[in-house]
Amino acid sequence: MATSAVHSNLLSKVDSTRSAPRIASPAVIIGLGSTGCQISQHLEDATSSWSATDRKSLGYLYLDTREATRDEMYKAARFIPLTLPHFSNLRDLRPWITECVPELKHLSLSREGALGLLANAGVAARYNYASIQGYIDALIGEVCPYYEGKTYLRVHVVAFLGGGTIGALPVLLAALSEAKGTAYNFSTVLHLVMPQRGLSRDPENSYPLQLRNTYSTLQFLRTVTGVQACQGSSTGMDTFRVTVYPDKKIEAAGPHFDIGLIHRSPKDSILAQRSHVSRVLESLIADAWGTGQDWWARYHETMREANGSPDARFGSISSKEAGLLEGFYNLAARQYLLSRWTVRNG
Amino acid sequence: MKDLLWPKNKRLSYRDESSRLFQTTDPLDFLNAEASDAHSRDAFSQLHSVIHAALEEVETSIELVFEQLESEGPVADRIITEASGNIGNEMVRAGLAADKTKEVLVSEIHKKLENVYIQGVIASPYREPSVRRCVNPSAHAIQRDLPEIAEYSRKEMARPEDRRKNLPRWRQQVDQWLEVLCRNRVADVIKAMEEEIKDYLISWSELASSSKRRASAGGGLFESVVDPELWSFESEDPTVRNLLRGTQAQDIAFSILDRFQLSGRDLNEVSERVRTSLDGTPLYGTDRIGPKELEEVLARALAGKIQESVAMESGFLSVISNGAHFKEELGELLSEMQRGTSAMEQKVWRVGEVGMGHVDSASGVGITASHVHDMATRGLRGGRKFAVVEGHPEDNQRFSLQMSTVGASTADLTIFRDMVAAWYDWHFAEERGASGTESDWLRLVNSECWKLYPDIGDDTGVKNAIIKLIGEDMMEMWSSGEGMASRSSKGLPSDKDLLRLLWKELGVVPLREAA
Repeated sequence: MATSAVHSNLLSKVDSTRSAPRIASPAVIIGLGSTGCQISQHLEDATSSWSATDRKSLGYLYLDTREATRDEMYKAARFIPLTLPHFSNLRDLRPWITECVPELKHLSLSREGALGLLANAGVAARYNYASIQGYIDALIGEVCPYYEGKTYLRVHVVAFLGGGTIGALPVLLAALSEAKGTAYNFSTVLHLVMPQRGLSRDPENSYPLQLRNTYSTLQFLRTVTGVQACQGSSTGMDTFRVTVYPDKKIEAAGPHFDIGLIHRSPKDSILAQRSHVSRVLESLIADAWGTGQDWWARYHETMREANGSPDARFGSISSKEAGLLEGFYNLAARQYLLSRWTVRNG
Repeated sequence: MKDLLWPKNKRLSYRDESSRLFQTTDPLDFLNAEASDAHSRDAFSQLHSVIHAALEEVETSIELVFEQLESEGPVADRIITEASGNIGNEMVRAGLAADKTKEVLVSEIHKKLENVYIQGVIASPYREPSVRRCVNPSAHAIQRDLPEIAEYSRKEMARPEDRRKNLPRWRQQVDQWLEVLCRNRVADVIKAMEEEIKDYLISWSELASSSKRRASAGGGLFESVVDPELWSFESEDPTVRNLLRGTQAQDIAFSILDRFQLSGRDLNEVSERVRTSLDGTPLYGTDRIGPKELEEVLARALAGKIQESVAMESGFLSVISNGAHFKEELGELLSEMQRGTSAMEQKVWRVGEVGMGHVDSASGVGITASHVHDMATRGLRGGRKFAVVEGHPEDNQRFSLQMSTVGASTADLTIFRDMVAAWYDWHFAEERGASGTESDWLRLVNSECWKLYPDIGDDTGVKNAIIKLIGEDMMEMWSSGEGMASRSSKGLPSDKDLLRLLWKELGVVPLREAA
């Protein structure tokens, strides 16, 4: 008799849809901050078993203020450390600095001390802007070969709203805005991971900081969608300006993102958070297959019907509890077999 | 049926058989489990008709050659000299066509027997296997030597009177040769089929006893389903939690299975799916798949069918809601889904005229009558209306509920309130909260407020816009009576006034407030 060596093969072949192409639109996934990087890497692992054609349509970029994150990534991963040279080597009070912090000395020299501050990532991203832009251009060209006639792609940015590195988001959006000015046409999907008290290492002190970062960042995103408040100046525009190192002014024209998805972990566990967001991302980048295909179809339908108000850019997504259904029906099928085999047994 | 048997003393004739044999849509239907009147003669005649049909084209070509020679008048020398060669060529072609058809039939029989085997296993491994009817079909299939065909040269066929005498004999010989070839190949197929059936029956009896063991108390299959704990499985995916637990899930499975019936077509589909998934691993014979693995593959294929059988209209939740106690539990179940694994995506806020709110989503299995909606609404703590109730296009057991809470009271928006509170509290924390004067407070907050925003550029950037939006949020909360608790210390203006001062100082006072 055949042994269980063939078993896994057999079971994988029961689902004939697994070999179908999954990706219609190439995608670049950008992990911003430690959580964003971990989620993106989890996704990279999950998609490693996809077909070569599908994998060719995916590109990953990792950015973090924490240098140790590089060691957690694959050696070949494109990682940009959002760090600064020693402060003594920088000229203080330059606009790219004062847009984030009144004086450079306000930032702690210790990276750990600066964690959680939006300003730290804001300054570092401005300093590393050329590198960010270069990597984005290269990745887009790779996953979306112009000579093959591909000019449309999606950019997924994954970031933890409560972290400090989210402070680099305005600069990242500015870089994406510049990339949009090229021959490529792309949609940007923001995956924003919510802070949760149960996931915080220090619920009394760091959790309120996470909530403040989240609130400010969400308001920043509202601002750059052109929401008008108080009929006054400053609001109602989706274009913003950032100054990047050394003194380059970037006019970041909107729209900056097409959809923003808020993710919350189903359990107070980092592992669950990573798996969950990665799974939702996996569904969404597989836009020619399963849930992703369905979701994008619904999304485009919604956008067609939307009245153009900014809130059409935000949506919710239902997760597919494959485990629940699959497990239940599998047991039901065994129950069925048992009933057939038992009745005749007597 | 007597004329379909191997004739004992009669000369075999391909042409005579043509009028007797009949084609069926499924020439292997004698192997079907439900073929009640099938017997070995059917097997022989149906296989015979398939190989016979495969030789029809050759026979027509041979007949054309003979027709050219039949003429009473002069026949061209070339036709006479080439006739023998042409007939020979056609006979070679007949042999190849018969061999090819034989191969196809043997392969199809194997496929068919595997499907019948799977169907039998699903229906009952203890029933007498239907293929036993086809035992010993070779009683009618005897291998014969192919008859010799005389070679007729130009000399024997040149004159019309010679042709009149020799042509019928030649035609008869070829006709007989074709029929013997045909029957010999049928015999080959039957022999191969007998071998298959022999393996089938041996494996079947072994499978029956192992199935009996697995299905009886203490057996693998029995153990895998009877324990309610096993129905509370946890997925490997840490984000997935089974909301149906133990006996509840078992009861629902029983309810579904009560209604579940496999049609003949379903059985065919399941068996074909299992067979395809085996990818060449034999189901019976010496190197066959083990009973445990077979059970696994069968369960997978059947699970798909059971899932399909639970229609949208009479869906999963209606099955749940039919039981009295489930009715009560449904709201709780959905509430748990909303809080738990299925409601992981929350839209925290919404902008526009409708104010702030969030959209929850819960996913489940199936949807049914309106009372389920009511229960779900109650379970999800009321006050919310269904925006969407729809089936998943590829999976009709699923539904998505989206409860739009646009316009809901801000008290419901726990996360949102937490965020605003955290931002607000910062202004009155540490030394800032301990300030003795208004100017001290303003100085301290002003010098450190860069920690709050991703951008603080005065002339560029979005700080001012962010503060304006936050100001609007605060004013809305104050006017709704849900503002933050006062934090400012004695001697200072109210924290509301302090914030207004701060905004004024920052030059971003909302117009409504300034007026």
